[in-house]
Amino acid sequence: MTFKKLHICLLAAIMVVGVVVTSTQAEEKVWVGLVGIMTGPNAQNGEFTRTGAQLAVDEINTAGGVKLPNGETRNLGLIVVDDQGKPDIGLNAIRKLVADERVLGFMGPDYSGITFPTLFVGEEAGVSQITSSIAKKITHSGFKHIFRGRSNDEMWIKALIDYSVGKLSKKSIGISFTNIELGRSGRDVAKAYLKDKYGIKPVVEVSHTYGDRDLTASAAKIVKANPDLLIDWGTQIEAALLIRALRNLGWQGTFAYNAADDIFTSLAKELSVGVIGPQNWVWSKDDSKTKKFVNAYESKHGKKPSPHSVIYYDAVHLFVQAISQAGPNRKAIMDYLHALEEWDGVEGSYRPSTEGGDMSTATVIIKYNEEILPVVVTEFE
Amino acid sequence: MLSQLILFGVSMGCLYALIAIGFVMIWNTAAVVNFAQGEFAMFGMFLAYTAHVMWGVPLWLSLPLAVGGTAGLGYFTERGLIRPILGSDPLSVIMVTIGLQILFSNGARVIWGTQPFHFPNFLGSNVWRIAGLLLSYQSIAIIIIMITIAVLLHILSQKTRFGKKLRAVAQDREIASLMGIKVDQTIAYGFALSAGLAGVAGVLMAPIIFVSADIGLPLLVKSFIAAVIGGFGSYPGALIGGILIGVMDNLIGFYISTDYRDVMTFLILILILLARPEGLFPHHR
Repeated sequence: MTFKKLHICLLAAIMVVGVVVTSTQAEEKVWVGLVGIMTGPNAQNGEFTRTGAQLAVDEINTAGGVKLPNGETRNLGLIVVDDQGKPDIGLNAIRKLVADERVLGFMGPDYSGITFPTLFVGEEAGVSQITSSIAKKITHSGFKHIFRGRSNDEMWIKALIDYSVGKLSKKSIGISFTNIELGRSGRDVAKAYLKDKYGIKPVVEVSHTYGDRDLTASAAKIVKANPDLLIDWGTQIEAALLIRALRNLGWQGTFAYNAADDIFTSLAKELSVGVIGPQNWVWSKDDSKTKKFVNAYESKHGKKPSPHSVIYYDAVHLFVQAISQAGPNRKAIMDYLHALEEWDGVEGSYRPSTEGGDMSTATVIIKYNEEILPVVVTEFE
Repeated sequence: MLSQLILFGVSMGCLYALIAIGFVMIWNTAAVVNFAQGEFAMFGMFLAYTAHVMWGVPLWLSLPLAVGGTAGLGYFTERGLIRPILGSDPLSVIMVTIGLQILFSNGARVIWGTQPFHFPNFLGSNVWRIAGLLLSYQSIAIIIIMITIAVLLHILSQKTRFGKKLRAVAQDREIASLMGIKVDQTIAYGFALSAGLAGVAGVLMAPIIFVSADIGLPLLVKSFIAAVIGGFGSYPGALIGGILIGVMDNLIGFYISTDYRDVMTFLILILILLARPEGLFPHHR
C-alpha cells in the first residue's frame, strides 16, 4: 500500500471512529437547550445564564445523571446557542435549537425583545421554554409552552414603587428607559401603577437608544425636571452611563434601576452606592439554599452569581425533575410542568401550574451600600 | 442648560474631531478613506485598559504606551496591508479598509471578549463649577489636550521637515518623490500619526463611554460625518465638524428627541451637503 493510500485509510478510520464515538455519546444523554447573549456588548449577561445552567448540569452528572422512569440513567447535556441580543439572530438560534429533536426543553432568551417575537417557535414545536425575560406580555399572550423563571416586570415595578413611594415617601418620580421592548414595557407598567395606586404622574419621561454611549441629553432632561427618584428601565450599560451623566450634571436624587446587579456595578463602580432596584434574587440573601449555591458558583467561577444565574440553575433542575418523572418526551414534560403545583428552588418557590406560566413571584428590593454590596431592604413573595 | 449642553458637546466633539483629523490626514497623504479609523480608537482604549487595569501599569506610562501602540498598529497596517494596494482601483482600497474594520473589531472580541469594561477616570470623578456651569475634570482635560494637539499639529505641519513632507505628499506625490521625499515612508508615518491621534481619542474616551469591542463603528460614523461636514481633506474643517457633531448630538437630544438624534444628525449632514457640497471649509488643508 502506498503512503498516500495508507494516509487516506487512516483519515477515513479516524472519521468513522469519531462519528461512532460522537453518536454513541449523544445517545447516552438527555439534552436541554439554552439560548442567550453569548457574544455582543451584553455578553456578560449571557455568560451568567450559561454558567448558572452549566453548574446545575455538572452537579446532576456528578450525582449520577438523570434517572428516567424506566430505570435507565443518562447524563444531562446542555446545548447553548447565541442570540447576540438581537431578535433576528435569536429567531434563527431558537429555530436551530428546537429543530434538534434531542432537545427536550430549553431556557432563555433573557431579552424580552427576543423572547416575545419568537414565542411561536417553541409553541409550534411543542417544547417547554423557561425564560428569564421580564416583560409581562410574554406570559399574557396565550402561549402554552412558556414558563417564566422569575417575577415579571409588573411585579418588580410595583414592588419598587411600593418601596419608593410607600416606604421612602418619594413623591416626585421620573422615568427613563432604553428604547427596547424591556424598557417600553417597564415604562408602561410604571406609569400605570403610579397613577392607579398613588395618583402620581411622572415629572419627566425620557428614552435613550440601545447602544447609545453619550446620554448627556437624556440626563439633562432629567436634571431639568429634578425628580426625587428616577426609575430607569433598560440594560446595564445605558444605566451606568446615565447615572454618571446625571451625577456629572449635579443631580442628587435616588437612582432606581431594574437590573441593579454585578454587571451594572462593574460598570458604574462607586456611582452604584445608594442605587436601589428590584431583583428576583440576590446572592446576599440569608438562607441556606442561597449560601450553598453561591459557594458552589463562587468556587467554580471566582465570582458571585448574578440573579440570572440562579434562574437558569433552577430551570435545569426543574427540567431534570420533569424528565425524570415524565420521561424524555417533549409533550410529557410540558404536561408534567403544567400539572406541577409547587417546586422549591434556590430563588424561591416555583408554581409551574400557574395559568400563563408566571412560575415565580419572588422579589427583593436591594440597595447598594458603601462597599457596593447589595443589601436586601425588603422582600415580596 | 443650553450652555451646559454646549460645553459637554464641545468636550465630546473634540474626541470625534481627533478621529476625524486622523481620517483626513490619511486621505490627504495616501488618498485612502480609512474605514478602520474608529477601530484604532478602540484599540487605543483596549491597550490602555490592558496595561493599566489588567497589568497594573501606572497611568502615566499606560496612556503613552497605548497611544504609541496604536500608532504602531497604524504604521504596520499601512506597511503590510495598505501599501500593496495603493494606486490600485479605489474600490479595492475601500474594501480592504472595510475588511480591516471588521477584522480589528472581531479581533478585539476574540482577545478581550464582548462585554464592556470600566476604565477609571484619570483625574477622579470630581466636577468643577464655574459661572454656574458644571464640567468634569475629564471633560476639561479633553478640551485642553485637544487645543494642545491642534497647536502641535499646526507646528508639525508648518515648522518641521516631516510636516512639510506630509504636505508635499498630500499635494502631489509624484513631484514630492522627484524632490527626494521618500513618499512610501512619509505615508507610513502619516498613517502612524493618524492612528496615534485616534489612540489619543480612544484613551480619553475610555473613562467616559466604557471600553468595548463594538465602539469602533459608531465612532467611525460620527468622525466620518464630521470630516465630510468640515470639507473632506480639511483639518480645521474636521475639527469644527467634530465639535459640531458633539454639540448637535446634545442639542437635538435635549430639544427634539433622544430617539431621533442620529436621524437628525444625518439629516443635517445631507442638508449641509446639498447647500454646500464641498463642506464648510473645503480649501483649508
